[in-house]
Amino acid sequence: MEGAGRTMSYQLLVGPHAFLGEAGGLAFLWTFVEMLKPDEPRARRAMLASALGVAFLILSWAIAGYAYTTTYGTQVKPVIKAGPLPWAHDVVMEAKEHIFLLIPFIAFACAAGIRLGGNKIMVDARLRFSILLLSALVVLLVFLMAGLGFIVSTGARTALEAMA
Amino acid sequence: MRDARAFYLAALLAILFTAALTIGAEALPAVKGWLKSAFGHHWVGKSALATAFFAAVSAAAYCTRALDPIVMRWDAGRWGVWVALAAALSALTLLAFFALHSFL
Repeated sequence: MEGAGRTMSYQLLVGPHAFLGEAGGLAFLWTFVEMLKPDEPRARRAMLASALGVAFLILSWAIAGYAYTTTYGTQVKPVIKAGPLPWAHDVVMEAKEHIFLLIPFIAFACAAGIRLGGNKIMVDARLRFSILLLSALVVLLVFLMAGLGFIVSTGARTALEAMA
Repeated sequence: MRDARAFYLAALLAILFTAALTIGAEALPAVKGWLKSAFGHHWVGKSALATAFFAAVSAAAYCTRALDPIVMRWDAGRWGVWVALAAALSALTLLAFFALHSFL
């Protein structure tokens, strides 16, 4: 019970982090769909979707950073490392927190491709291909983050169950 | 060069920089210690340095002509492929590095 209390404030931060991260991923899925066969209205919507996606991912990054540096290290990491799945921190969380850093740069480059491409994205197949590829990559990486986050949560949950 | 490829180049280099900085900080405790003392937490340091690096390369590639020979080397499609390859390779390298670091 005491262990569960220790992870509570982290959970309050990790919810908005996960929500914003997944909203960012969905915004880039929207971008991908708009870019499959772009015309002027679709290009405008893709620009909006990618800008929203970048904003969501940056907010998710900020909340994740605050949670990771203020509560995760003191409240969650020791619980996971004392539990039956210590690799959930040592491998999964360590990889997740650093792979995450790559996503905003890819997202920004993708949004810049749409913004700067302008009407060219309707006729330049190579530019359109690059935007489709980068938006799909953002979606895949966001869902990878969600999967890795589930493993970290499982590490904490099994540790708390072992303590109970 | 006022072209999206300037940001593709910046993303590619920022991805490689982030992966190298992460592995360098784990391999060399002095680097991790410096990040911690300079930024309060090593992860904040990596985030700040990677963002500054991305911004600097973006500005140099987009606002000046200094990097035009590199930016213009490939079309946007090929730049996209290289960014995707760099991201996939960096993600796999980081995962393998932390697995080896933990289990060996």
